[in-house]
Amino acid sequence: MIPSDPTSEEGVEHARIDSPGKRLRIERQAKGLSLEQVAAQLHLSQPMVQALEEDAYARLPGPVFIRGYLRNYARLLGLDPERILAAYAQSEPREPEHPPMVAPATGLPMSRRRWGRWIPGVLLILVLLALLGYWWQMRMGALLVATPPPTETDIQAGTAEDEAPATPSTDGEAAASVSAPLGPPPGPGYAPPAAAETPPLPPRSADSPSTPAPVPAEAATEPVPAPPAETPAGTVDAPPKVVMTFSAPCWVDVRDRSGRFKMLGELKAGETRTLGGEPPYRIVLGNTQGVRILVNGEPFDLAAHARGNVARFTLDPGKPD
Amino acid sequence: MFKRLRGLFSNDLSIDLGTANTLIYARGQGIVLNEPSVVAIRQDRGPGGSKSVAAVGEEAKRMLGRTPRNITAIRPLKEGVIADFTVTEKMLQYFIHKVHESRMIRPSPRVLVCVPCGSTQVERRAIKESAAGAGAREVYLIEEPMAAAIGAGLPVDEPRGSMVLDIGGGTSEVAVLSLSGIVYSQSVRIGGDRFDEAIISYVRRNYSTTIGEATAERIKEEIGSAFPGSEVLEIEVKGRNLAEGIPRSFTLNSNEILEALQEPLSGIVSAVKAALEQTPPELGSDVAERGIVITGGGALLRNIERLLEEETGLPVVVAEDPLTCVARGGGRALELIDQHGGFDLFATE
Repeated sequence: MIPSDPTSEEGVEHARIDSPGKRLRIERQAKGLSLEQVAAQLHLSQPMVQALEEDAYARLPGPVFIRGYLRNYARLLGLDPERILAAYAQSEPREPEHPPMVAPATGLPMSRRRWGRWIPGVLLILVLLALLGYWWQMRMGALLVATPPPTETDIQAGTAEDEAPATPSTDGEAAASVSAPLGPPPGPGYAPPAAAETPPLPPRSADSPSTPAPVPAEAATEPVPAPPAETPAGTVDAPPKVVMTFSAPCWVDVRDRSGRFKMLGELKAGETRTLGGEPPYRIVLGNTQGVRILVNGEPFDLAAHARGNVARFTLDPGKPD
Repeated sequence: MFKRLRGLFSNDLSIDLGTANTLIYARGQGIVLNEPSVVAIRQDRGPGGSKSVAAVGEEAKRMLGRTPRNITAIRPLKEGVIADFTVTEKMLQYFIHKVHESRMIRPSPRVLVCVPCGSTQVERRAIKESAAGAGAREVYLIEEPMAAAIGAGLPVDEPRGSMVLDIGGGTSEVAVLSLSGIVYSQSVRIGGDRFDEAIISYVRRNYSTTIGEATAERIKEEIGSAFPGSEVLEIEVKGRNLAEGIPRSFTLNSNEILEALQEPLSGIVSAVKAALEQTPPELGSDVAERGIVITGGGALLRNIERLLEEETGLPVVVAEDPLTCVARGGGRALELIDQHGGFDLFATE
C-alpha cells in the first residue's frame, strides 16, 4: 500500500541509535502523517500511538501488544518491522515475563492442597516413629522382663495368638493404633505395653518360666496358680480371682480398669478363663446362660445383671456388689 | 510405584498435538521437538501381513503423496482430533521417546496435551488415552486457546478480557479469556489444511490442473496472503494438466491465492465477529482497547492481521513465534501445577 521510498532506509540508518518510538515518529513526520491518521490506520487510540512514540511502555498493555503495535506501525510506515522490534528489545531489556498466574485460588482449597501434599510424608514419619517405639519396647522388654508375669496369662488364648503375629504385623497395626485404637484386634500395640508394665512387679518374674505367653497361659487356665503373687499389695487385698467357665458358646467383652487387659471374642463351651489386669472389669456377655462366674470361688449372680440373655455390668471383685 | 520412579528420570512435557505439526515443550529445555504429525505405515506383503511403522514426523511427511503401494503415509489427526487412534498412539510414543533419546530407562513423563475447545468428551478421552498409552505417567488436558494465550504472554490471570485467535492446521479457535478462565470460546474447523484445499480447488478450477497437498502448502507459504499487499509475489509450480494428462508448469501470483483463500478466511473472520458479538460488554471493551492476538501457524499467513483489523476495526497483533505458542503455554501451565496447583487452567475430560 505504502510504497517503500528511499527516505525510509535513510531514516532507519539515521535512527540506528534512537529508540523505536523516536524512529517511528521521525518516519511519520517525514511521511507527513498526523497522529490521528496513524491512530485510525492502526485502530489504536491516539494516546496509545503517542505512548508508542514516546517509548512510554508503562501506558501500554503488555509486551505482546507493544511488539505487535510496533510491528504494525512499522509496516504502516514502510519500515522493516524486525529492526524496530530489535530496537525495542534493546531498549526494553526483556523484563522477566511475568508468569501468568492462576487466579489466586481461594484460600481454603489452596490450604487443602498443601495438606494433601504433606499427608504422605507425615504418615511415613508416624510409621517410622511407631516402628522405632516398638523396637525400643522390645529391647527394653527383653532387658527388664525375664518373664512375663502372671498378668500375662490373663490374655489367655487370645494373647497366645497375638504374640506370634505381633512382630510382623505391628508396623501396620501400630500406625493404625495411633489414630484409632479400636477394639477387636486386641492390638499387638497393647500387648507389649502389658509386657513393659511388668517391671514394677519383678518378684513374680522369678516363679514363672521365662518363656512368652503360651506357656503361662496354659498354666493360668488352671484355677490354682498365679493369683496370690499378684502385686506387692497382694498381702492385704489379694486381688480376687475371677474365673469364667463357659458351658455354651458365648461372646465376651471384658476390659479392666487400665484398659490393658482385654478379652474379646467368642469363647467355646468348656473353656475357662481367669481374668487378669486390674479390677474393676467392664464386662459384656452375650450369652449369660452359658457362663458361670466364680469370684474367689463363690458364684457370682449373673441373673441380676442380665437383660434377656445379655449382661452388661461392672464387676469389682474386691467389693461385694 | 515404578512409574513414579521412572518419572524421576523423565521430563514433564507439554504436547501440542496438532493436525499439522506436533510440538513438544520440555520443562526447563524449551521446544524440543517440532515435527509434522505424519506417520508412514508399511504393510507387509501378502494378505493379512503385519503393519509396521516405516517413518514418523519429518521423514514421513516427505513421503506424503509419494509412497509406493505397500507404504501409506497418513496424518492421524483430522481437524484437531484423533482420526486414527492406534497410529496417534504410536506417533506419540515415538515422539516421547525421541525427546528422551539419551535415557536408558523407559520414560514416563507427566504430559499435558492441548485439546481444541470444541472437541467432544469422546475426542478428549481418546487424546488422553493415547497419551497414556504412549507411556505418560499422568495426562492433563488444557484447552488450546488457554495454552495459546499463556504462551503468547497474555495476562490471562488478570480480570481483563483478552481475545486470542489460534489458527491451527485443522481448526481455528477463538476465545475470550479472563481470570485464568475461558469466557467464550468457539472452534471452527477451518485451518491451514482448508487453505491448502482451497488452493488446490482454485488451481483445478482455473488452470485445470491438479496439484498435491505439499505443493499447495508451499504455494501458501511462499505467496499466500490474506489481504491485498503492496507487492505482488509470483511462484512457478508444476501440476498435472487435467485435459492433457501431462504435468505442466504454470505461474501463480499472490492475488490469485488471495482470491482462492477468500472462503476459508471469511469463515475465520465470521468466527471472530461472532465471538465479539457474544462477549460480555465489559470484556469486549477490554478487547477493543488492546486488541486481538493471533497465534498458531495460520498467523504466519501474510497480512492476516490486516484482514482482521479491517474487518473488525480493532487492533490485531501477531504473537511472537506464533507456531510454538500453544506448546510453550502448555509448558508454562505445567510449571504452574507444581507452583500452586494450577488446576483451574485445565480442561476436564
